[in-house]
Amino acid sequence: MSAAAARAGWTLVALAALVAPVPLGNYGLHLLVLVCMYVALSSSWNILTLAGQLTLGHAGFFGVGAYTSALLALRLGVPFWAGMGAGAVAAAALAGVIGLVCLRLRGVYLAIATLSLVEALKIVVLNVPDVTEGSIGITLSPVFAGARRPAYYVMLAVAALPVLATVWIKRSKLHVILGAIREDEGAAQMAGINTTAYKVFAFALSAAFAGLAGGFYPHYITYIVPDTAFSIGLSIEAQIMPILGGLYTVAGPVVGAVVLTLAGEYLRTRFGAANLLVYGVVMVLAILCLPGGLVGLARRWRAPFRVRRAEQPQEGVADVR
Amino acid sequence: MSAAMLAQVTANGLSLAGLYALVAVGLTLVFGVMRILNFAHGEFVMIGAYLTYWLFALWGVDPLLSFALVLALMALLGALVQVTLVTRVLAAPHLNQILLTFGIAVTLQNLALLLWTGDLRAIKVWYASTALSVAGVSLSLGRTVGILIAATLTVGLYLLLFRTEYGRALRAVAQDPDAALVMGIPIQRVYVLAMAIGAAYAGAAGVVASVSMFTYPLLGFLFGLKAFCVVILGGLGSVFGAVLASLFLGLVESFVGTLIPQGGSWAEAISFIVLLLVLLVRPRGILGLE
Repeated sequence: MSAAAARAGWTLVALAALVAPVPLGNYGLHLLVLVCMYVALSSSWNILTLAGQLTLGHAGFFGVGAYTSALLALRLGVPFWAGMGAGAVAAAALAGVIGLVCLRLRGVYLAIATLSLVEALKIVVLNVPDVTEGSIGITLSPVFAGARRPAYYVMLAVAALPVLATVWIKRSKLHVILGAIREDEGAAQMAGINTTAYKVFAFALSAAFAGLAGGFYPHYITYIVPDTAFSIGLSIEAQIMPILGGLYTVAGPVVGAVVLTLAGEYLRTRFGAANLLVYGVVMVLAILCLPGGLVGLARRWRAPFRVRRAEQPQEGVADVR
Repeated sequence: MSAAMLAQVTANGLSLAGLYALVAVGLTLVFGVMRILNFAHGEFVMIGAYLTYWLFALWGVDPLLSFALVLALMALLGALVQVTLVTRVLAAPHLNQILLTFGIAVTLQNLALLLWTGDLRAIKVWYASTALSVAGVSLSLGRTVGILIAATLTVGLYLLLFRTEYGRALRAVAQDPDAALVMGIPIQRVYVLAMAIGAAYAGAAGVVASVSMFTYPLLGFLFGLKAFCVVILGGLGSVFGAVLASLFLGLVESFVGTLIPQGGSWAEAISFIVLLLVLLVRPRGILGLE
């Protein structure tokens, strides 16, 4: 895709996102807020994969943001926007600490640690009810007195930030550095790159955006319990969306989030809890058959026949810019 | 803490450790041979538990009798997963391997939830509730049998690895797949064998779990978390290390559960803290190779 076409495409998406809430009713607006929240989660999860690492517990950082923000509002009356900032900082700090421990090492350690982290966090929140209200959860008064339009614009901004951050990474020196770490960490180290520092940075950035989204969520939904803040389902959704849309790309996580949030909503109303089963199957099939995701598929389809072979991503190492 | 109580808590810890070891040795064997951490390993435990439960509930087959059948079926499932799915990502980046096995886990977990609901299911056999008392320490007969099964199978795996030609092939591929290939070892078949053994051992853990606790769709997820902690503590790829680490984690959980008020509810947090400490202090685990 040429740069001009891409810019035109993104401008259209931005315009559509800005005017979309005008004709919609309450349910439509709620769906749009959810779409934005999932764009935030999937784009932020995707940032870490740029460095060749992944978390299996993105909900942990969402939940830390949610609880930080909700507790600040409940105990100290902190306004939602300050709570969101605090949530992002708390999530980034947690990621920083875990990253410093796990990302010194190569391999699967971070994936394991983050999977386990979510359960550990849930247990901490459940077991210290004096501080966190435990399983009863926290109830907050609705932000903007329940008006959905302003809430949508806040969530839209929350969704735009990780997308813009990905664009920034792709345009800066970071693109090359993270790509080098992803392709061959040993070689990157030999080239004088402090790979641990860059991986931890990507992890903390990714967590901060999840924490920001989490920070707004309880103010919007007005209610937070450990099971929704630290849900396995949320972690799975944050992964499956970029995988389906196209890993390592800017558009992939956005496309995946829009498609799967709307499809997921349909599945939920139609089949109950079966949507996670569908996500599992989609995850397996996408990894095996669709390495570039929907975005990669569209690119391959658009490419002229002659260059199609050359543009085909090698299995799994798709760096489709 | 009195001596009798100390013995009791130790016995409880051993019973947990036996289960953890059954789950973890298969996981670490598969990793050692294939360098892939199977995130669906815990789900194999869950399926083994459900197989045992349904054989008992539908046809009244005693878990002790269905044991061999469940092991064989699970080995078949493991081989099937290997041949149809995992083999396709052997050369792919880490990220894809993790996401594929995690996707399998999500699928199996939610399939179980859909087919068999989230109800807690228990097998009521006479030996599950009969207590065995020795010198003031009481443990249900079911749990005692569980410990014995775990010990027997662990020794069995040791014999398989170090006394048979199959074991030699498994160890050779774990050490150096290229050299093993040059020596004429059919690597792909060794991978299938490793996965089949891993799944069968997970299935054995499922049988023991279905008798000594409840069967439900998330059972495997929680066992998986413990097993990941155990294999890292023991050293990724080290079977003997996994056994030692299981003993350690089982005993720690049992003692924390008794000594600290409501300590039992902290179990998942304990394994997470152990995991982080190991990665911080000694990332290659007790017996892992650098």
